[in-house]
Amino acid sequence: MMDEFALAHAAQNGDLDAFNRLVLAYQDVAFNLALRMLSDEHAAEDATQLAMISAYQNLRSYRGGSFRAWLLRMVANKCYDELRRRQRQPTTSLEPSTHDDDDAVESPAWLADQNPGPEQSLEQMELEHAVQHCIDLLPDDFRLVVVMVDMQECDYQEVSEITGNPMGTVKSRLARARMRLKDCLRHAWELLPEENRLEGEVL
Amino acid sequence: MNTQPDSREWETLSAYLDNALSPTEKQRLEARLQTSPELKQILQELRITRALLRSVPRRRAPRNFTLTPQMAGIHRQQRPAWLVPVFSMSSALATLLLVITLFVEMFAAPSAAAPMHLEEALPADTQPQAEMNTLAALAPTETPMIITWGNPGMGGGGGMDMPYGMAAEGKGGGGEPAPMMIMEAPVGEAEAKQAPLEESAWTAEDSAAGETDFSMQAEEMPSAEAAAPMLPDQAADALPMTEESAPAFEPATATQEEAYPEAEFEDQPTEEPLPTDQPQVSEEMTRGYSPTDTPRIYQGEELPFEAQPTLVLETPETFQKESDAGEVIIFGLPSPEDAGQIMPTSPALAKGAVEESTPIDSAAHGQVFSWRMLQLALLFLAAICGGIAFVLHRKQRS
Repeated sequence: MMDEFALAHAAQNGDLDAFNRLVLAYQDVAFNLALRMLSDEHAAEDATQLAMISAYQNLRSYRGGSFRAWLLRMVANKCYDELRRRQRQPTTSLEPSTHDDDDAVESPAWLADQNPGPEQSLEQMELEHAVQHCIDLLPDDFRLVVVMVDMQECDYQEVSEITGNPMGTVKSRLARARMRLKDCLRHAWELLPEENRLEGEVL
Repeated sequence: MNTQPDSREWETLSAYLDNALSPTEKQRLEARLQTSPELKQILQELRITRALLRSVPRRRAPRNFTLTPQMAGIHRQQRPAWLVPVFSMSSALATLLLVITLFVEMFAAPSAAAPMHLEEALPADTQPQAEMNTLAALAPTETPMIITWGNPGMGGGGGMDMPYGMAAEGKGGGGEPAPMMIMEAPVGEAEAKQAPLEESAWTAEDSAAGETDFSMQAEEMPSAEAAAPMLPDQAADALPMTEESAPAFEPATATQEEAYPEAEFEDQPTEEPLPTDQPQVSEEMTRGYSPTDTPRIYQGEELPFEAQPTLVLETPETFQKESDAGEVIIFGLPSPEDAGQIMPTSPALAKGAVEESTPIDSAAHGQVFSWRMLQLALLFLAAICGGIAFVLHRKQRS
């Protein structure tokens, strides 16, 4: 197991190789977080790279603990920067901005517009696309929490460190995000592998 | 579906999925789940939803996001912006100079040859003996043939007469004329051999008139002084003799006469100038150009190469002694210098010409070599500066 703290300490002293070892260890997690948050590979790459640079430049702010959480916080901040930039310079998106309307998640009108039946369209969509689509409908704060917990398998404490929010806020946002996703993804259940569905029912 | 749990129940169900409830909360929820099938249905849907999210394949990073030193140290990358233009301009300048040198070499090739001649001349001037040697080298070969056979008696007689004439003309003049001769020799070396004979006569008088001039000319003396040291036997006697006293000359003449018998060659060397005009020489010799003759005699003696160096060695020592002892350093000074001059003249017969020619060639080659070295240096400079500029430019762009 890699000694995060030793590598981070070496990186703080200017050892770029040590820092790059940490980068290689966590770049997949960082990129997936950015990808789910931004729903765009190129934007996710840019955000990840910028986060790595920012992390190296702000290594002094790392004072022990989970380096992964500290690094993912950098990624989350870069994702927020990108999302804010998108809001200032809105691009023509086929998907509705439902951040302010919680009901929109439960009744995705955009599916009906493109296809006669939501079920058919969902069936045709791959699981990943369906999940990503429903995630995109969540508010940024909700999305960040649910992605980190259910897709990055972070625990509450780690998410609390990353987001800088208290544990209660994390739990609340996670619960609300899950409820919204439950309704959004109900038609995608058949995409779920059989064993996972059975597992879910048994559990 | 029909009855949605409140936000509080959502959080409890969500936390229950993650097994994040306290034992009491967990027991309370499980008890309620037994009584509320709707709540249990919602929990099941949440489980499936979470399973969906977890089943999404995780992407691998499309590329490595490791940092390069430039990325990591943006602040460190602040190289002076003027480095690139400076290196690029210096490279261009070096290239331009290289091209100029190439053009100069191409179009100025004849001129380049000229300086080589100049260089040849320079060493000759610096060492007046150079031409003397060359001429001497040429002359001796011819002279022996002509002189010995043409006027065997003349040469001997001339030589005999000359010393006497010298003695008759002037006390100090006899010794002095030789240096004078030498003085003029450097100016016109070719003429020096011929004309000096005549000039030496009046120069000798002038020199006799003012010794101060001699002191002035002492520096130039070396060339002319060669005559004195020339004679091995004379070297010891003649040098002191030449210093001041005419009587000293008589012994010197005697030595000269003695030298004549030693080697028939002596006549030949005396006649070396003769190839140009033998009769003049003979006449002048009679006038008492013994000093002039002495150098010639030396040249003649030079034929036996081995003997000369010994002569030279002796002369300088004697000269030094005399110079230290007597005020009339004029002769003393010239004599050592003469020795030095003689040295070259003597080798000229055999080696001198070759030796001198070689330095000239080496100088020419040296010039060409330095020219090539300059071009190579410019080429190297242009390449280095250009490479540095290119690398810096790439780094800046990256």
